[in-house]
Amino acid sequence: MAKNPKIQKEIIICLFLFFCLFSCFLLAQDTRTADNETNPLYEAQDEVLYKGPIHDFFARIDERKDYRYLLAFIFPLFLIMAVLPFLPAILELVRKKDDQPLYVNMDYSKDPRYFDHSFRDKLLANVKNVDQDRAFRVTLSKNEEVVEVCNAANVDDYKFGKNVLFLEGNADITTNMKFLKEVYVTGTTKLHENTILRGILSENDLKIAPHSTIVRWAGSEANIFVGYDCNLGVRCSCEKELWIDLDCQFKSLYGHPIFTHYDENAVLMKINEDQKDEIESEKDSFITKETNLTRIEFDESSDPLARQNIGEEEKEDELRTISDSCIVVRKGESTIPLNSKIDKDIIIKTDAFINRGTLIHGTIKCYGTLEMDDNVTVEGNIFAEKSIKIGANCRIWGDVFSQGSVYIGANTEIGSAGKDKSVIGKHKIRLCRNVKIHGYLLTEGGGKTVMSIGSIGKKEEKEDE
Amino acid sequence: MGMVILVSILRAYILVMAAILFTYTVRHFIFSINRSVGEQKLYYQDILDSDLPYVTVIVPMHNEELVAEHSMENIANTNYPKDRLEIIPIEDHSEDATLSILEQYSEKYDNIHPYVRDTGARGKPVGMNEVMEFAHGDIIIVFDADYLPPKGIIRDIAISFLDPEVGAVMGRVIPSNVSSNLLTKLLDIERTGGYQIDQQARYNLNLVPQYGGTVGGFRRQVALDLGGFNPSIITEDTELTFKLYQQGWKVVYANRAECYEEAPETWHVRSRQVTRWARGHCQVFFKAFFGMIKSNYLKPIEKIDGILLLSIYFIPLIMLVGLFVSLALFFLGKMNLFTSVFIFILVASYSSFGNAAPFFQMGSGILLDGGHMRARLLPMLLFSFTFYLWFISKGAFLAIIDTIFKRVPEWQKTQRFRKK
Repeated sequence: MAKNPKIQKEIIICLFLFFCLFSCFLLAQDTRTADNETNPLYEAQDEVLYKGPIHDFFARIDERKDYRYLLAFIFPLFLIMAVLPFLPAILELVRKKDDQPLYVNMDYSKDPRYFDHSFRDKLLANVKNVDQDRAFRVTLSKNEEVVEVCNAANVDDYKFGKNVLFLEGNADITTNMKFLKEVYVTGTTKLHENTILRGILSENDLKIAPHSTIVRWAGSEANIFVGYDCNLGVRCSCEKELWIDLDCQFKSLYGHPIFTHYDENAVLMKINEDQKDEIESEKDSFITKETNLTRIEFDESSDPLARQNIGEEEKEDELRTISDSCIVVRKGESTIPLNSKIDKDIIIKTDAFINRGTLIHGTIKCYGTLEMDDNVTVEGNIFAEKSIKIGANCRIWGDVFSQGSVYIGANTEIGSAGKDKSVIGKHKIRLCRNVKIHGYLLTEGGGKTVMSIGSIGKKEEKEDE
Repeated sequence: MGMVILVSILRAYILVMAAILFTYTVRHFIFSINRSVGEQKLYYQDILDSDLPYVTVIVPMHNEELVAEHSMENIANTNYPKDRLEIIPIEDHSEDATLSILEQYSEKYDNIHPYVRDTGARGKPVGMNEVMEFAHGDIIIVFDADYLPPKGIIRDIAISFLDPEVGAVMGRVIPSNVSSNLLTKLLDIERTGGYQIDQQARYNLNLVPQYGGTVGGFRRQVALDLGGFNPSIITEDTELTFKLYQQGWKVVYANRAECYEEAPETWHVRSRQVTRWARGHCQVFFKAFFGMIKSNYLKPIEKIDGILLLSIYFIPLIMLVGLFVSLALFFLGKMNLFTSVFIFILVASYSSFGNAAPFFQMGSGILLDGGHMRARLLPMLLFSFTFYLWFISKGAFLAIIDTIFKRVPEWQKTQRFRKK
């Protein structure tokens, strides 16, 4: 709370004043004790003990019966005590150190590629000012930075450089390189293994080899291919496809689609491919082949093991309608039976389990943990106050939003081509292989690509709850 | 005998008052602590979705020539998809240049359709009811005429209606004319406490955030199904809030949906505004109290918070009466309430912390907002506290009279101070 140096200063002054007052009080006490000990009458006459300077002051007034002294003392003291609390306020009113309205960014609008766009706009607006040393200045976030313009082929010369780089052409950044500042590449970019970058924007494809680290953000106007065990920093976004391999960490992703691809050779092949056309054709065919989910025909049957089924067997007092298109389940742990078909929005006030084969034409809102078995289709959004676990081969057409964590099983697809949908998990997000998300993904805690949801372990799940 | 009974009643009043105030004290502290160190709940603003709902923005206006242009310009330039946005300013019996300003904007922008009211009763609830009947939007978003909405605010508000349980959304109001005088500075601090701490904490704790009638939205069909706005209630926002909760809908708070407003610059205008708020809020208390208690949709903790929220404008009246009761007890020589240690602790803790609890809440809000230096003004709230004690009590008293005699209060417009 008191990180502001001005506040710290005020706290120190207050503490000092308090310390002074307290010292005076102790001094008065000590004087009394010391005087008592040295007073020859101390042992003989307990009733005439010296009681300190303040008592002495009042005793003298009492003795002389002259209360002018008292008034002269009390009145200013009263005034000081009355005004003192308002002193900081009066100072603020006079000096006006903080009298501007709270800042509201009037131009703010949600942009998952904000870093990329802002960075590129600033660079391109100032690149015309390049001087004879092939450098220009630009203000990024707070500080003014020097941007060096150079040929991407010579990028190795700028390792550990202190300046932002503007690389012209295709960049091939070799193994174990480290860049302390942002890099802009006008062509395709390839980061070899163990590269560390603060931020990068590539106008064409961006290929990130295994074990690389992006400290802040990475962006591309085309595709991004990420090898295994990479850290993608705060944000990784592109206009086209974003492929991610196993064991990658992230906080925010944006792609059309985001695709967790665990075929190491396939990803490496993409990273090492030089012919863009080939990449496009192979990638398209692979995604289509892997994620071609067929719609399942459902029959309405109930699961005999279900503790409480949402459907016709639901007790009437546990179902309440808040609109014509919505049902509310209030009590107990809820299970939606196998192969159910529900044509309304559902609000579940408890934990819920949706059995395999279920088709829901509507949105689900769950106040507990929502667990979905394999092959579930939701033609709406999913909201949960706790965690959401989506099984394998599921199809969600809307957004997934959780105040807890989100786990997405293999071969699950979220959203649809040509539209942006979101997966938001406050605590964390775990993606299994061949997960396809059309649009945006965000977590405050941290995201990771994993082999399976089961490998996360019960301890981790318990932490979420 | 009569004197004994009178003294007993007066003493009981003081003790009940202390207990009520202590409850509010605890509530304020819980909210402040939740915001300062507790886990914060995500709002829906991070959701990126191509399928946004069709929105109608309503701006009620009565003699708003000083501010109409600014609000229309800002709303027209928001980045919400134009094919999904309809803007309906309500020109309500204006006698100045408001209509001609709206006509200019109507010609300039295809999706601005002014609705002119020059017959019938004046007032926001009546105008809103009429517009809701023909508006095309599934979602209604309301701004007062003096508001300056940022570009992304309509999306930030509308996105939460993807949640099927959300019936209304409230954004955050920030005064733009803070530097004008002491009153506007104090109002800024009050708003900080009210939104940054109070509303957000209630959202975090799944309690009862309130829809405030501006910088917010609601589902059109739901509002119509609930009978629209009652013209006899002057705080239609509070009425809608409690109707929604009673029917199982939720109100969510969007701290990110920030919008500048113009705060009253004179104590006289502020007194009229706060009296109107208190009067309307207390009117809703009488209508919604039992409904909240009986609602099957609310958890007990939501009911408690709802009742505390409903009753909040009665507190100054209770305190004012308590002041006179304590004076009476003092002069009767019967003020020896503190024989029990428990009661002493109750009253003393209120005296020590209770009075300061709202200030503590505002201080926490200031720190969260990063406006550290304005925290120095906190002691000045003592003056506005005394001011509100009288005018809110007046509003609460008028609401009691309205309820007893079934009077319909007249709608009052807040004066604007923006320079031409």
